[in-house]
Amino acid sequence: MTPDNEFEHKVYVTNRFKRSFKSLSEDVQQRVMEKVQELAMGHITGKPLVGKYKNLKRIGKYRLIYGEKPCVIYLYGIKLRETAYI
Amino acid sequence: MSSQVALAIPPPSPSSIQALYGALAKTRLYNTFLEYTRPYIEHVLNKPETAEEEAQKLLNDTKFLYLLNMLSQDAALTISEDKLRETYENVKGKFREFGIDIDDPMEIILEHELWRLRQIRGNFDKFTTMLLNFAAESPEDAYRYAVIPTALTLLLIASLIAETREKLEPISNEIRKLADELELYTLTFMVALEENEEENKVVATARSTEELKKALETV
Repeated sequence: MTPDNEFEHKVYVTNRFKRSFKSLSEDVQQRVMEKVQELAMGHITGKPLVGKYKNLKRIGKYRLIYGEKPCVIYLYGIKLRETAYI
Repeated sequence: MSSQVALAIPPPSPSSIQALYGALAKTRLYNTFLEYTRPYIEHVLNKPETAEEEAQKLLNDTKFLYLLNMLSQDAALTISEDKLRETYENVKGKFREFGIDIDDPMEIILEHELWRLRQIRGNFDKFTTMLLNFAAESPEDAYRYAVIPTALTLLLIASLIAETREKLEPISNEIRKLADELELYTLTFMVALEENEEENKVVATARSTEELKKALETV
């Protein structure tokens, strides 16, 4: 058992993830943070990408991309669906 | 190019919204395309769950591949982002008329097509190299990447012909399922084009919420 605020998995943050996170509004940052916490606690899992990127998964509306290894969550990046497209 | 490499290359993927736009515009090319695919579209209209099966049949057909090739050239040369958006709105509107919400899957399809169009026009070398590598490394997934947009094309064109909610609802369910899968390809390709960048380096680690907050705050 881990203390309440301690993660099950160690979280690795990439430069890309950090940069994308900073560009988000506070509200979205909060939601992404909650999602990362759930991931780090091992409560949720995403859908794998394809080809040789199957080791990466996407989760949530904000399309958080992450990798999973034993005891480690690697936060690759956030791919918001670009509203500019629409 | 060795024959081994050639065999690993899957059929091309059509642009579903572009095909739909063309179907509405009624040019000679698209009329030929529609005429050729009509039996498949009618089959999908009556049995939307067979869209993937029908797509696979088409992808084994040389004449269809030839038409697809011309459609791709047309897309690269003539289609505008606004036309794609306009077609996307038309499709959404058609489903909405019958009380079916298809906004999310349509947004996924549009995102994929606009992204791909931008890559073709602005990042061609990297984009095609990435796709060739993808096909060589993961031929089954690359083939799937041809099946999904082809099936979506059949479903979207079938949706134009459908005139009742009973017909449109199962079509929308198949579109949803395939769009979900398409999104994973969009994300995969975006990631593939970012490979080997400094950005992928780990710059912080965290074992708790507090550490995570700090890691994301610090420059």
